Amino acid sequence: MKLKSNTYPYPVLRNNNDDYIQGNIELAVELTQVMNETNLRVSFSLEEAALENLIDENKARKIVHIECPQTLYRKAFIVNGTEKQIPLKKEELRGRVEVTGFIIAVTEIADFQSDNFNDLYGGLTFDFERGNILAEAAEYTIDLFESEQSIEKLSSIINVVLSYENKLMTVDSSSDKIVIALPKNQYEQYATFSKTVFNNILISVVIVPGLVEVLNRIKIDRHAYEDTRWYISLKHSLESIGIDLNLFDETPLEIAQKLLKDPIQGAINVLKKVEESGAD
Amino acid sequence: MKTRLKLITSEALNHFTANFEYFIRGIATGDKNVLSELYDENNFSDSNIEFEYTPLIQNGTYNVTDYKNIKILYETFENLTPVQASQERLWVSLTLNHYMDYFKYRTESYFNNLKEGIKIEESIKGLKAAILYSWGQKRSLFVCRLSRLWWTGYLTYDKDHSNPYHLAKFFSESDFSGRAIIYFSSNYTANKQLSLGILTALKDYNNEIEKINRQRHLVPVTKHFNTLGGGTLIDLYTREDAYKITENILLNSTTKSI
Repeated sequence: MKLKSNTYPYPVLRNNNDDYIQGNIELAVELTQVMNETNLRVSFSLEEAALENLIDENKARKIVHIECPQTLYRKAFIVNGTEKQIPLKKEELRGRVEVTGFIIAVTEIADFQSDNFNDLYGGLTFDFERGNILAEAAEYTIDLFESEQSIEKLSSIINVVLSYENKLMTVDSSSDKIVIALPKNQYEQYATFSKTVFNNILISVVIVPGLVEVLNRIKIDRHAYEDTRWYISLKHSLESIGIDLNLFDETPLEIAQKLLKDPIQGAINVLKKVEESGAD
Repeated sequence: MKTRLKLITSEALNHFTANFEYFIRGIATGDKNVLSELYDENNFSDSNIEFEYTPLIQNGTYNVTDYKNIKILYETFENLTPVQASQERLWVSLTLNHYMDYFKYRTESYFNNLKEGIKIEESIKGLKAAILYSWGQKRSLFVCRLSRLWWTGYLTYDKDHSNPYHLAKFFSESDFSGRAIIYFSSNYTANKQLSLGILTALKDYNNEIEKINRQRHLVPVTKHFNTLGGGTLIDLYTREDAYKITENILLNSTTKSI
């Protein structure tokens, strides 16, 4: 559940925020698989006396919110105590699943105050309505797939196809795969050379620019692609080589080269070999 | 008799997507070469989905047929899971193999434009969005002509009502395309209880006070719940809560307009 961090008109306990000078809220999430059943085990910890009192008085509850944008699944679960096992149905969830922990007011609350409020709120009290968010743990994102294959290989999320109409190469990133479409004559050459030593050159001239284009699109509007299968696989592939797609510490061109294991060097090596064999 | 759904392969779907204009023009003109390329048996494989085929209604105004078709399609595929129903391949396969006539009926103006050679680019784009996921995963569910029937049935089905489709009827009886995109784009509409409460209030207002208008009623209601969701976990609201909140917004809008 994506929340805008600056929308609260009152202090909310959460990480990386100083509304409360002391206190902590944490949600730990573990996915367990027993036979055909997938369960989400959540552990909820809260350290803030005034909020804990509200829970003891049944004025607030610990809630785990699970949302899957792809399948329009959205449910809230009450956590009594510190742990809960939530069964997840494989028929209901696919792709990116967001899990967030909250402390929520379940009744109207008048004149709430905490000793841990930032001085900014010194002496102030707050009234809450049912449903108001009082504390928020960091969001977890879990990737679920309907098949037993966990994450697809990079090669299976990028498809190079023949286009009857294109005069130039185009990249379509609107569906579950990245589809690079080549004009007929280029595609025919691509299909021939992809089975030879020249494959490395093709990666440099077709896949690298295609991937750079897609990375640029992500950089401009990540939210448009986050739910797609290719984005999730790409994110995992990048994480496996230490690149965080949220940060973009490096340029799309640099990221693409790292992900494809320096294809330009590979292409130059092939050209060198061809030249050497020609010289013989 | 049960029919087993044949699913388009990923490769064939990619080829169809990359060459959409070529294929849709072939469909429009009935070009035998294009159709035999598209429907080549190697492009499809057996799925584990079986269904009793019932044709969708293809005559009459959309304000009447959309509701009936929501009912027919949802009942035909009532055992479909949300995971299955979220997949582009499923809807493309169903459209190509079983519901092409319905697709042509519901996108008639675009096909007519192709025939007459006018607004070509716009029509190709419209047809593409009507069958392929062109607007992102979630929004496409409500833009694609076939998937939006099923998802509207699924999200508005009111099992406790004598006519479980009464909200689908209200929702689709006017401006179905616009309403579906505006309303279901908000994440909170995935919460069934919340959504049923909002839609029931909209329906009652529509029947008792004035006809619901997208801009004047649906947009403010949607905006209000989105704003509310910024600081409140609205999932804790009951159907009755959602009804009352919506009713208040609508009644306020009436007062303001007076």
